[in-house]
Amino acid sequence: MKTLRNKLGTIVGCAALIAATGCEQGDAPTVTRAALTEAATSVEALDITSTTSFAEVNQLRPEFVGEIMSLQPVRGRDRNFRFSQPSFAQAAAMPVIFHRLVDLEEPQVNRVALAGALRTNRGPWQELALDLLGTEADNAVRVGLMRSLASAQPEVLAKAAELGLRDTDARVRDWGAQAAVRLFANYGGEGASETLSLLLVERLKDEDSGVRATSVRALSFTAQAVHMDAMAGLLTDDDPITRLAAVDALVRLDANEAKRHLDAANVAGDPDPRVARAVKRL
Amino acid sequence: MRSRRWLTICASLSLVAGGLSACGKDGGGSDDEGADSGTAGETGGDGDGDGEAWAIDNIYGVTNRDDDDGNGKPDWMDPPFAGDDDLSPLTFSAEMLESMGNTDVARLTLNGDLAGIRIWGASDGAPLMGANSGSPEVSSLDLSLDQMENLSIEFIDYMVSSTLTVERIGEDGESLDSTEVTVAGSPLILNHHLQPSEHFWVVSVNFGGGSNNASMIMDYQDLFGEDFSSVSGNVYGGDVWIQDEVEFGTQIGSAGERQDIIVDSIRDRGLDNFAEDTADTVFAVDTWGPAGTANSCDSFGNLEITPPITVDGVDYPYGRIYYGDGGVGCRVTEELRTFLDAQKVQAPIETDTSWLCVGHADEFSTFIPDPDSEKGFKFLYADTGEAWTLLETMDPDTALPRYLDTHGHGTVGEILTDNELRTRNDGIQANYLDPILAQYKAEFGLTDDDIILIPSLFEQCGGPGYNVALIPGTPNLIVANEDGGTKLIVPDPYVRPDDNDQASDPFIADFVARMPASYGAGDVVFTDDWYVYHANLGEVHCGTNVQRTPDMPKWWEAAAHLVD
Repeated sequence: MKTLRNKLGTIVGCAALIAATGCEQGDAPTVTRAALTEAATSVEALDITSTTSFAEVNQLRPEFVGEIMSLQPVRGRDRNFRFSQPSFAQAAAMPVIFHRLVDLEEPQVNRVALAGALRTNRGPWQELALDLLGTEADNAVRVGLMRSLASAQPEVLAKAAELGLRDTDARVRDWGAQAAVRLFANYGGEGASETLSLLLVERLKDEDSGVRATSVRALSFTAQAVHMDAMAGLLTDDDPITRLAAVDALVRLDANEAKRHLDAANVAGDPDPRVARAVKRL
Repeated sequence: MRSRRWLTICASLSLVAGGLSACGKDGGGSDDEGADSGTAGETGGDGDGDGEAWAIDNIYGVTNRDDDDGNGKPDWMDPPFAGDDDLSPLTFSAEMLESMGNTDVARLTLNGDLAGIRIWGASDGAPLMGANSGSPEVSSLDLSLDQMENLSIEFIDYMVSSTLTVERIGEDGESLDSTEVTVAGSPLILNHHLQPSEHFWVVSVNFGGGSNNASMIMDYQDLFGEDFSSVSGNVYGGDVWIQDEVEFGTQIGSAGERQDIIVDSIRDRGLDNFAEDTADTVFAVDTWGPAGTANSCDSFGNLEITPPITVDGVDYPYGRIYYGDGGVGCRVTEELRTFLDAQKVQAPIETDTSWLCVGHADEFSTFIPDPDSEKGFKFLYADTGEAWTLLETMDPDTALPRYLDTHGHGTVGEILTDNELRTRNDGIQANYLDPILAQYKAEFGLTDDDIILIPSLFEQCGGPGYNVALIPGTPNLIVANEDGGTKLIVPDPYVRPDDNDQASDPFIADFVARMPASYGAGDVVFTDDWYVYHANLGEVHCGTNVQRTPDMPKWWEAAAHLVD
């Protein structure tokens, strides 16, 4: 945590972004396409060695920082809490989010929601979140961090996926596998090591059915038919959603080869109608 | 209950004018409800050989579960009192009264649900027959002529039914005349989208940081004026999901009674007290299921009703109830499922919502009125293929600031090239949306002509198999049937760069184009539900509740085939 706090003391970006865009404040945004483009460009151009601390952001935009500091998460229809206010998406909010996130006086529910709010923040949060994932003790906060990191750019995504898949908490492993899905599905596995694929194969035997299901889905995007036998093992999984994920994954990877595995496992006679229907569609 | 003044007049007229047939219309039940209450059950003559009937019409009533005296208890827990207008008059015709000899008695025999029905006499005290009349309940009673006035029947529970036999017994104990009538309490009938809307509620909140629903509140105020209530979010803990907390239903009786019911969910979040606070002396409030056991599927965005339909030759004049089975740990509480099944008239079905984070049936479909169509409605249903097709017509560089804020997709192109998203939605379509639509077609008797597909995309929100609307779920809308016609209050999809330029949004234009021809300019209102609702996994329907008029046929006639 101390390392991260040190980094936070030298956080970048927002001052430059504020200077470039005026960083919108609290009320409903009136963002234009041009402003978005400009903001995105500014974020990309940030020199992360020219630093701006939380204190400096606070000095530059005290009202905005005060608002982000005071806001409480909103309880969603699914009963989970989120910082869904649009001001949390602004890059200028990033150092404030981290400031609250690493403050152990902050209620846990807030810390979880803050970790989740990084996902759509337009600031350079990804490396910091990755660092925090490796040191954070609270399982639920790590879930929030991993969830955000599953939406990261490929250079962070591969590291995040590996870290997540090794986590002790099944929910973190699940989002780690989801990070791998995005990495392979959207970025062709850019930056992925062989270790990541092997980790995914290992997770096919995870005690948590959700992790198994997401891992088999991730492997379906790797274009590595060598793992098909291991993936086919889930066709007889106890959990129907995992069996369904296995059917979809095998077919995506190699429909002809999948047919052989499906026949061998007699999945057409699966007691779950969703699984049986998926086979019937072939 | 509604129509109190009418019922009082009717009850007093009935003795004078010879029975319920003297009663006129009421604003509550169906359009033509006089007091014809079904089959008179004469089983014997009047014993004087003149061929005149000794007969009473069947009696169908409403439960006395509201609180007309405002004493904090349902009225069935009190003895009848002035102003308690939910009892059904038990009225004997002038001919019946005239036929009574000096030594004759009227023998009433009640068979059936004695614990759910009771008969009161003119005087205060214990009921004469049925529930709480004794232990065991009194099921037979002789009345002298002077005791035959001002009798009333009270229904304590839904769908209770008894047979009431009324005999004229002579001095020697011989039965001179006899008639048998059905005495039954109305089922609970949940409202559907073809009924007129009477009142709307939305919880007003400001979560700060640019998240408030002031714009949506203003839209409702502009559209519905005094028929709309803005509920203070401060009072209810910022709980905006008012659709989930309560469901409005109704009962109607053969004397024109109307009893509106608020079904209060066991969900019990911030809005827990909304039902009680709103009930006043008008609504009855009932809850099914044990407190503290709620899961997401117990919310009433997961309790929907079709319009009147005919399925394989069977008419459902009040539609059918449908709700989602959200999979492990997410199912409507058994007590409510059992109760709704027992009401019979809306024959519930359950569908698979296990693929949704929230798991509610309102997230991907709805019914809207279409007066020009044979069935009078259209069914809106989410379709992911339609969304991809529409997005592909757009400039991929089109900026999507709202999506960037909430979902991370900054342009149309970023959505189109998101292969994870595309394969996810392909799977949702094939594994869930298509099979559920096939189920709905079968269970609701729908044809392709009845269905309007609505472009929709979903994204992951929880574990691997859990999803929620990425593009605001436009079928998750509110139907308002006002004097001036139907209006739809629809979540603004914001598939455009400029928040303020709805005219530039292809998804809005597409939605309007898909609506039936009867929807003119201004009938589809797109409202901003983004940060308060959409970003928190709900939409306009989830955040609104509507009370509707029971403009419906008599259940004892139109749904006799379902009740029997």
